[in-house]
Formats: sequence, C-alpha cells, structure tokens
Amino acid sequence: MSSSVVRVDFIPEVTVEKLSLPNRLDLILDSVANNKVVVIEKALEPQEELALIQKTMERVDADKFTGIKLFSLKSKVNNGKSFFSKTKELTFSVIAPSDAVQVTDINGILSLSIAQ
Amino acid sequence: MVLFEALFKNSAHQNMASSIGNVFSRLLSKKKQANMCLIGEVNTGKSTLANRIGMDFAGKPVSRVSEIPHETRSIQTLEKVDFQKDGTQLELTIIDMPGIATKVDWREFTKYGLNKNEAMTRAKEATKGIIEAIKELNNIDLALVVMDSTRVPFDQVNLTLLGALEMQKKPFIIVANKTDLPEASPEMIKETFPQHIVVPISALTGEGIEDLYEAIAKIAS
Ligand SMILES: Nc1nc2c(ncn2[C@@H]2O[C@H](COP(=O)(O)OP(=O)(O)O)[C@@H](O)[C@H]2O)c(=O)[nH]1
Ligand SMILES: [Mg+2]
Repeated sequence: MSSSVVRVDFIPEVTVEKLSLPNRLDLILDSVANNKVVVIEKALEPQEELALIQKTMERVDADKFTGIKLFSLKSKVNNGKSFFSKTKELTFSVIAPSDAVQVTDINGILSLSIAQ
Repeated sequence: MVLFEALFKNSAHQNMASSIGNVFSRLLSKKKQANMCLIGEVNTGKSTLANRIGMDFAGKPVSRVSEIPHETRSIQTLEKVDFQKDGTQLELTIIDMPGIATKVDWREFTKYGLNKNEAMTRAKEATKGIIEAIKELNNIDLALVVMDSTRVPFDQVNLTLLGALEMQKKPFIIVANKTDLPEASPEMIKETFPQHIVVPISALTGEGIEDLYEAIAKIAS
C-alpha cells in the first residue's frame, strides 16, 4: 500500500438491509477497490459470498484490482445457562484488499493485521 | 420393453414407440444419471482426481493437470461414465471445475516461467472460469469438494462452498487429497468438518480411492 493510513469501514446491519444484493456487493467492492477494509455487521450468506466472488472476478484487472480477501465469522453465543436462554448469533464478514490484510480468528476473536 | 415395442409395431407411431421404449428402459434399469462435479480451491488436485475416476470407469481422462495454478480455466466434462461399486450403478457426468479463488494476480504466473502476455491471458481466462464454475453449481447433483491436506482447511473458499451446498441441500463429500505427502494432515480436515463425510485419498497414487467410490455409491443410492 502506498499510503500509511488504512481505513476500515464498519457497515451496520440497518444500512445493509436497505440495499438490494447487487447494490450491497457494489458498495463493498467500491470500497475495497479504494483500498478500504470493509466490516459488515451481518455476515453474507454463502450464496451471497458466491455472488460477491463472481462480481469480484468481473472486476479484476491487470494492475489496479486483483481481488479480495473474504472472511466471514459466524459464532453462536449462548447468553445464560437456563434451558430457555436465547442463543444469539453473532456474524460478520470482513472484505479486504487482497494483499493488505490478514484476517485470523483465534478462539472467536477476530484479528485484522494490516500491512503498511 | 420388448412387449412395448411389440404393442406399437406396425402402428404409425413407431418413432414414438421407440422413444417411449427408451424412457421405459431408463426407468427400468437401476442406473441413475447424476452430474458429479469436482470443486474447491485452486491446485488441490481436482483434475488429477477427475482423470483417475474417468480412467477407472470410462478409460478416458477428463482434464489437463499442471502445477501452475488455474490450469483448468473452463469446465471440463466427461459424459456417460459407467460407475459401479458395491452393487450401485450410476451413469455419471464428471464435471471438472476451474478452482475457485477470491483473487487472481497475473504476476503469480510469471513465477512459473510464463511471460507477461501469457500470464495476463491466463489471469483473464481464470477469472472467467471462476464465474463459469459458480454458475454451474446450480446444475449439479453431487459434489466432491476437493481439499489439499497439506493446507489449513478453514480457507473461506471452502467454507463458502460447503455453506452454499448445504443451503441448496446438495449432497457432497469432502475429499482430503494428497495424503501421499509427508506434511499432509487429513485428520485436521476431519476435525474441522466433523459433521461432514471426509474421505482421505491420494489422487496421484490412488491410495484411498476405493473408500471414495464406496462413499459415492452410498451417498447416491
Ligand atoms: N503429491 C500429490 N500431488 C498431487 C495430488 N493430486 C494432485 N497433485 C498435484 O497438484 C498439482 C495440481 O493438480 P491439479 O489436478 O491440476 O489440481 P486442480 O487445480 O485442483 O485441478 C499438480 O502438480 C498435481 O500433480 C496428490 O494426490 N498427491
Ligand atoms: Mg484443474
């Protein structure tokens, strides 16, 4: 990366919900193509991830954009010990410019390592 | 079948008779037709495995194999593969897919001795192949998700593919390939996907291949 500033955009569920799938994918890819890391508050479904990969491949060009790094974290959190306790699903997706970011999930903690 | 043709003999509907006869013979034989695809990340040995299955049951290979990533850049198929195992008979169409990746960088290919032009053409074709492969997923009946046992299994491409197959309720088998290599760890793939069928094999040496055929016979019957 040429600049030493890395921007990470957190996109809340309310923002994502309003958009159609193609618009949502465009929003993601526009940001990533501009070297931003995108974190979406509700993980993409597998079919949506495939659609994202398709769109990414349509956009790949020789010099400016070689693709994305995609990472979806889906973990079920059980808050409470009783039989009736609610299981809350925490999910989010990280989409990053392919070479700038390493994403790791160690014991449910998501780590973004950003190379400068 | 014979009865059917006799019934229609001398009628004006001989063509119809034979086509009805065909439909019946297909229904009567136990042989099920199935589109079986090989999918997964790049360079996991999908084409090597497709060729082994093709050779074992049809005497023909399916695809070209290379150590250079993205060798399979368009879908390769072999039809009418007469699969037999443990009393199960299938008429398979083997569909060898381009490897799925989230990035394609032509510079990678220059490491394998390709010049800039060749590398850029290969990259362009690879991106098209990935799009084609994802579309083709809608037309399959059964998938072999091929993973390289020497790599960490929780790559997002694997998770995405498995998730999509589960959502579409398509049967699949995880193939933990390259068990002949000393650094292979098919156990790690089993531990990562305890809820799925995992069959360790070496597509190169043939080790474990009968276990895979058993699993295919089981899942298809
Ligand atoms: N050691 C070993 N190498 C394999 C095996 N299967 C495939 N390969 C090698 O892995 C590379 C990629 O194989 P290929 O079948 O083209 O992979 P594909 O991209 O998934 O179709 C080639 O160099 C193959 O010879 C295996 O079981 N063991
Ligand atoms: Mg191949």
